[in-house]
Amino acid sequence: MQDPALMAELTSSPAQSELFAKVIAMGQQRGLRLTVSGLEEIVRANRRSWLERGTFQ
Amino acid sequence: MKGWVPVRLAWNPGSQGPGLEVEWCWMGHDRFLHPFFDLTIQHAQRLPFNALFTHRTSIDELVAWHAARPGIPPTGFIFHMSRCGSTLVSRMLAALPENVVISEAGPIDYLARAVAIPEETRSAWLRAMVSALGQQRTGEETRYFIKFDSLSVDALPFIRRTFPAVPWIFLYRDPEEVLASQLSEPGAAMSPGIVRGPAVLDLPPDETLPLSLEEYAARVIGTLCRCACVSADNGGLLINYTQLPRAVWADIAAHFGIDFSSSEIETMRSIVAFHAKHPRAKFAPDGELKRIGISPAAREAAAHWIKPHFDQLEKLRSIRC
Repeated sequence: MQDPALMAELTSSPAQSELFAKVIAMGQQRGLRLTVSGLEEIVRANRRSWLERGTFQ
Repeated sequence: MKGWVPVRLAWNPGSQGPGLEVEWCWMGHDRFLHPFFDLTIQHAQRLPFNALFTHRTSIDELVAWHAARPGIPPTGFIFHMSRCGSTLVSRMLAALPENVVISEAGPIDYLARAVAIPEETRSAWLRAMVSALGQQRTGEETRYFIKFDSLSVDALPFIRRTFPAVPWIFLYRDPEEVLASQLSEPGAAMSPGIVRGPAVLDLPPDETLPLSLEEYAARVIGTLCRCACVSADNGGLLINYTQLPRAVWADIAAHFGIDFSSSEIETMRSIVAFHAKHPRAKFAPDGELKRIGISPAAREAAAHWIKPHFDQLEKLRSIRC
């Protein structure tokens, strides 16, 4: 998150499939084994968390 | 944290620091152009990046960021009784690329009203939150406006102590028209027990539940107006709905220390033709329809619980004119 070039690369993806491909490729360069299904599970968990954690009003 | 905005607060006693966490969302250079903060954030959340990557920090990091990047100091605050043209005002202001307009942001309103947090801490956190949302997004912005949730008018004294130099306005409208709107499409605060707080009739449930919807809503709206009356001589300007839209580039601009150019006024005027909350729809005046269609019970509730405070607001406004 502190690397502007990396952020620009990741935030410019308009489609989830394109973002996943980038993330998996970047992960491989750093020795991480990421999969589409693993990333899909993260997205689902994030959505769940977003709905469960409401703002305080 | 450039390009990130704080979008939510959550208490997490197991976390480091004071326990209040901030959830961030990537917005890059995008501006706040939707009628409400939440709509802009919902839009940003559709970005695949935000679906995959979440960013959560202690509120201490927000405070540290405030010290490092204070952002644009607030130009003016907007308070209102609800359903009275406040969204029109915020959208007119947001039409100018020089303006950052934050409309009813949950994290700001939460900190404004979280009376359980010690005031010194709450002030520091509110200043940090306001500053984080008041960052330049495109580089053109020089002014910064915050429209609070209607309930936050109860927190006006605290907000004034936290931002003593920032001028504010309170918008209000004919009691029957406001009550008719709230009964037709009720906001959360208009149903007993949904939202609690000093401004929302801090009565025990056994006293609020028997109230009719008309009386409950009227008492809440009346309380908001009373809060504005109490603080009116403390840096405030009272604006009746009937003064819109002209007041935006006249009285409100003068109160906020702005001299809009004729082209800026033209840009803001172009917003008036459309419905403030549903900008794809044309706007049609509906005040008379609202007054004609109101039920006898609602009319009586408006007269009893809102009208006295409305009259007081009108009296205070006339004294200052």
